[in-house]
Amino acid sequence: MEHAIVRFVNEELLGGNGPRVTADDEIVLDGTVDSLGVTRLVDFIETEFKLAVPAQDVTIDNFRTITTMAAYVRTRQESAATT
Amino acid sequence: MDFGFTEEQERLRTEAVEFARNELASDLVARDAESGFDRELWRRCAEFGILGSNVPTEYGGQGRDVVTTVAIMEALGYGCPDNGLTLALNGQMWAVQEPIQQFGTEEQKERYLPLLISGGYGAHAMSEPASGSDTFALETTAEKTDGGYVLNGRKTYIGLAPVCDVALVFAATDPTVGRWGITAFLVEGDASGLTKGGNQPKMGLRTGPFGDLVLEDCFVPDSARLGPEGAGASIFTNSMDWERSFIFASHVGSMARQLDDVIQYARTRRQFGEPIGKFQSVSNRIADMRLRLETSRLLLYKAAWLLDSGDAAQLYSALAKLHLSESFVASSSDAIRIHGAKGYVSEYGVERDLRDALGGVIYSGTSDIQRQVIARLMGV
Repeated sequence: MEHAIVRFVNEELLGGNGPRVTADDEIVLDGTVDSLGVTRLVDFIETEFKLAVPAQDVTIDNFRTITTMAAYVRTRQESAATT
Repeated sequence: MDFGFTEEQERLRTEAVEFARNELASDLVARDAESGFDRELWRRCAEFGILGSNVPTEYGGQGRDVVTTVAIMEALGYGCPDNGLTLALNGQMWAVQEPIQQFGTEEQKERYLPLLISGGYGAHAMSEPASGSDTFALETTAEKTDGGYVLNGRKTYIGLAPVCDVALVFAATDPTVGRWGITAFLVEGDASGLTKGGNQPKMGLRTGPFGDLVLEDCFVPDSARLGPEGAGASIFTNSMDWERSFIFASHVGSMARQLDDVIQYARTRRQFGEPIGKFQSVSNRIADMRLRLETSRLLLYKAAWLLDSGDAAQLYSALAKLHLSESFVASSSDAIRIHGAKGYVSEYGVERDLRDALGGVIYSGTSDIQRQVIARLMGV
């Protein structure tokens, strides 16, 4: 999961140019991914992992790094599986 | 694919046009000249069910879907030439009531939705002196304290601010993390420390009140927070999907009314022994106005359909906002050219549409910003 998000950020958001991000980089705080990039990232997560990301879940706790994004997705998937 | 309205939607549209013509007729030229907001017209719109159209019935609304509500708002604009009033209605519905519906606690919904749809006033307060297109560069702060937050800052160019009963205020709870530290609050109009500025004179849309909100050590309880701390930017972005998609719904109706007017005028106004519509310089303009109306409708209802379906609409909201606002300016200008001097003087109200339209390329994100959004969301 982390690998897919890292690849999306590096290839799609950053266009394969410049330094490549890792799963633990704080990409939304250091300016690597800006507001419109966050929108595309959320769209990607929703499509790739087949879940809806409500606006109130788009917080720094869930989106600080790709690792925290993946943890959020797993939590949502587990929650969906148990309901 | 079906481009038609249902019988029920057609009935509601007809009723909305009749309501607008019968109940919202007023001395608009005079009120425009004096920037007069008519609370009685707002009350009638609430009573007719305009404000509650897509609010769930448990909160007193009509519970209609988005497409139907947009169809009603378009019809309202067709029957009511008061663009300042219809813009204010749309602003409250899509940028205040909708976020409360989506992100509010049950207590917040029960407290504010019945108030707003029954004729109360709601303001969406984001812009500040130093943050316009750079939306999230907020200087308004919300400091956590016992049992709530203390807000300080100034919000500018806010629709319905001078009269608001509640304002959706965005403030920085953690300024060190930029957009990720923004939080949304519902601040009541009589809150201690909130000052509502007077109606600020402007070029157009003069019949909709507009001004500043100043927050000075304004305490709000924890229960006033809309959504989690730090989710304000995402809530704002979501609210813009709705506002940008539909704030021009009634202006599309205005464009339809403009088109009817210029067709009638081009058929009856004679120059050089012929109706002026026989001259291609006039008829070409009318054809362009029709094209703008049709393309505007397609984008408007595509966005409505997407949001009814629960799909992401940020790209389409930007497309709709850009095209509808620019089309209203272009068609309003064409309407003046077709009417000639009669279009230029204030007496007939033709020129007012252009003044009303020009604000649309600025508020809710300028046309330049919409183009940026569109390009970036396509991966450019």
